[in-house]
Order: sequence, then C-alpha cells, then structure tokens
Amino acid sequence: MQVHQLSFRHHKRASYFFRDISFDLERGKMHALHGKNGMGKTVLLNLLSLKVPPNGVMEGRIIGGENAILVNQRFDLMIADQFSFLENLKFACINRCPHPFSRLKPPLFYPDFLEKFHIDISKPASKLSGGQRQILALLMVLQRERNILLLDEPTATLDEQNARIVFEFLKTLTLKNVTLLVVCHDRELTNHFVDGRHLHLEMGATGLRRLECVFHGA
Amino acid sequence: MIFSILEQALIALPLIIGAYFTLSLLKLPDFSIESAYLFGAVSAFLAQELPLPLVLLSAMGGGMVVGAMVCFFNQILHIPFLLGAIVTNGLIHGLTQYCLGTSVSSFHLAFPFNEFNLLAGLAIILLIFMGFGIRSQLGYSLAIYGNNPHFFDNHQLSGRYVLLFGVLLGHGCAGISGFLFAQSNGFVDLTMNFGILLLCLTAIMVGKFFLKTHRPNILVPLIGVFVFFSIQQLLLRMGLNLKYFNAFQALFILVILSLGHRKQTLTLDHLGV
Repeated sequence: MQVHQLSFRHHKRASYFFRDISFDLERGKMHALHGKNGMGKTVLLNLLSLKVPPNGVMEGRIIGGENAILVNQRFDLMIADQFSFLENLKFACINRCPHPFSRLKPPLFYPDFLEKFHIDISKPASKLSGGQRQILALLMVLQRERNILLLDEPTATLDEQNARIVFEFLKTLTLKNVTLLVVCHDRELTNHFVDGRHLHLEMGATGLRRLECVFHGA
Repeated sequence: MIFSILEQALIALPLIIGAYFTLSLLKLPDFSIESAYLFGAVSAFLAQELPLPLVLLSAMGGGMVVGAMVCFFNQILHIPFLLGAIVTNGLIHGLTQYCLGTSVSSFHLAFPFNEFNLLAGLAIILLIFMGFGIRSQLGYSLAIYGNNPHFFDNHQLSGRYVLLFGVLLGHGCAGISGFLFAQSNGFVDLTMNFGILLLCLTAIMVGKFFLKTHRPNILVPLIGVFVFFSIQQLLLRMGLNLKYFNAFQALFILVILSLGHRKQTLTLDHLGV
C-alpha cells in the first residue's frame, strides 16, 4: 500500500486534519500505528480503506486502498454467536444480497494452522475464548479476498494471554502475504511482533496531525 | 378427531411457517402478523370472483402489504419494529372496516374438488419451497439476523434486504392462512386475528421442544402445528371449554418458559422462541 500526499479536512471550510502525509506499507509485513487518543488513528484507518466520512474532503492518492479492509474494534458484532466457527466462516462468504436458492459456500480462505490455536471449529462461537473469537472475526474478513487488514485496537477487550494469541495469529497471516496495519497501545506486543513500520501520529501546535515513521523494523 | 386435527393444522401451517420466519428466525416482535392474517383473508374476499390461483396470490399479497407497511415504518421512518407493528395493526383494522363495510362478511368459494385436497396440496408445495429456501443463503441469513442484526453491516451485506424478504415472505404465508381460515369458516371477521400471535408462539415453542436446534429447520413449524392441534383436540375431548383456550395457551407458554429457565435447558430471548 502506498500513500501519496494524503490530506484530509472534516468539511470544506475546516482546517486540515492531515496534510501531505506520505508513507508506504511493505507487503506481507505487520506495521503499527501509534498515537494518543484523539490523534486521528481511526480517521486515518478509515481513509486508508477509502471510507471518507460524510462531508469530509480527502486529497492525495492511496494505492491499494481497494484491497484494504478495516476490521471493527468490536469484533463481537461480526460474529453470529449461536453458530459454529466453521458456519461463521461460511456466513462470511454469503452474497451481498443473500440468494434464496443458493446454498452456503465453503470458506474461500481456510488456514491450515488453526490447531495451533486450539480452535474447535464445530464449537459454537459463544463458547470460544476472546482471542479465538477475534481470530474468527479476522478470518471472516479475509473471506472477502482482501490482502490488507487495518486493525483498530484488535486486542483492546482482551486479556494479556488472549492478546498474545491474536498477535501470534496475525504474525502467521503475514506469512500468507497479508499486510497488516495495527493500532495497539501495548508497546511490548508491538515491539515484539511488528516487523514493518512503526507510524506515529502526533498533533502540532495548529491542530494539524503529523505522521512520523519512528522505526523501521527488520 | 384425526381429520379435524389434520384440517386445522393444514389451515394454520402457512401461518406458523410465517411466524417461524419473523418471530423465531428474525427474532422480531412481530405483532403485525395478526394483521397479515386478517388482511390476507380480506384480500381473498375482495378477489373472490377471480380464479382460485389468483385468490391465493391475492391473499398472499394482502399479507405482504402488511409486511411492507411495517418494514417501511421500521426501515424508512426508523420507528422501532414493535411500535411500527402496533401502528400497522391500527391502520389495517381501519382498512379492513373500509373494505368489508361491516365487521363480518360471509365468504365461501365453491371448489371443483375436495377442500381438504386443496389444503394438503398447498401444504406440500409450501413445505417443498420453504424447506429448500430455508436451507439457502437467505434462510440462514434470517437466522443470522435474529442472532446478530449488526452482522450484515459489519460484513458489507444488506441486512435491510434480509429483513424485508423475511417479513414479506412470513406475512405472505400468514395471509394465505387467513384466507384458508375464512374459507373454512365461511366468513371474514374483523376479530378473526385475535389471539393468533399466542397460537404462533405456542406452536413454535412446541416445535422447538421436539427439535432443539437454532439452525433454520422447516420441521419446527411443521411438528409444532400438528402437536399443537393434537393437544388442543385432546383437551377439548377432555372437556376444556374452547373459550378458555387462549388462557390455556398463555399458561402453557408460562410453564414451558419457567421450566426451561429453571432447568437451564432453554436459552430465552425476548420472545422465548
């Protein structure tokens, strides 16, 4: 994904929220987006997935935005709890307007490493751990054949152990050439798992947000 | 007795299938299914001069009009579903008065064949179509909607389409039942829909008691309606006065729910189905 001189205003007469931001995200790597609350991390993720807020004005170019998908922070809203892990994966392949004469399709993307995370695919989603449910939500998103995932605090509601499971899962996704941009406040986790860029959002004196690439991992 | 059970169950089967879609799968507080049942009968009454297939379509269309109204209030005017259903019931009550001219109108179509054959044929067609449809993407989508209405927005799918399709289909089925009931009794009555919701809930609960599944399954309404009318006939034979039957149904629901709650064998939602 490449971002060229991205600028954004909340409406035509508003002052710039972002101005001339440029960066690129290397394919198949995990990148991190840091910044305090209110710095515009969620706004930036929305823009990267080409979701411009109503009345918002975006300038610049985002190459690869059409392949990006923003994963909701509240992953519980993405899952049908009563149904099993496998059924939920099939549900993610349903047509935009579900067909009355077509059966459910088998999942398009079904990783071979689920046993590593002790996931019983026949178990109802409600009986899975928080980490396993987050993994399910991520896999459901991947059924849409997008290879750039923008994750807004994917471990915000999880305990330390489950957060680690999710990051291990994300790491295995990068081996499948999926590019990730993760917002996470846990520096220990991001320092351990992120092998791409660390992007840092800060606010200048005029209220304009600046983006700095503070570290480029191995 | 068996013939009576079969006849009543076949009349009510489309209604229970419709209620299964809206109450049990979509988990909507669908009070307006009572109006769909009534307006199906009214629409058939208005189309009684037409050939039978058109009368049937008219009954289904009448039910669907009610479904479209409640969906319009809910999806376009953003009125909560229950409130929209209550408003719809009020409007349909007035519309029925206007169409019938009186509160009771006699209604009987002359068929060139046995009426029971019509009921059986309709039931078979409905079971084949709905049985297949309920296992489709759309059938599962109804159950997903009931489980998590936010699912569709979060996966860029059309939740509105699922809701609309489910409600129209469910209400269309209820309309057919309304016509069958009016035809069987020989009149369309403004109050013929009173207590129908209770019947639907009881029959679906009975069906779910035998088939404990959250997956869409056409056998739930099928078993539910036959067992329900078998129990009803048995109680009538035992001397229960028919005028107390609604109260009996309400008691039955209370007992099932409280027992299930105590034994934790039922996962109760706001409708119990």
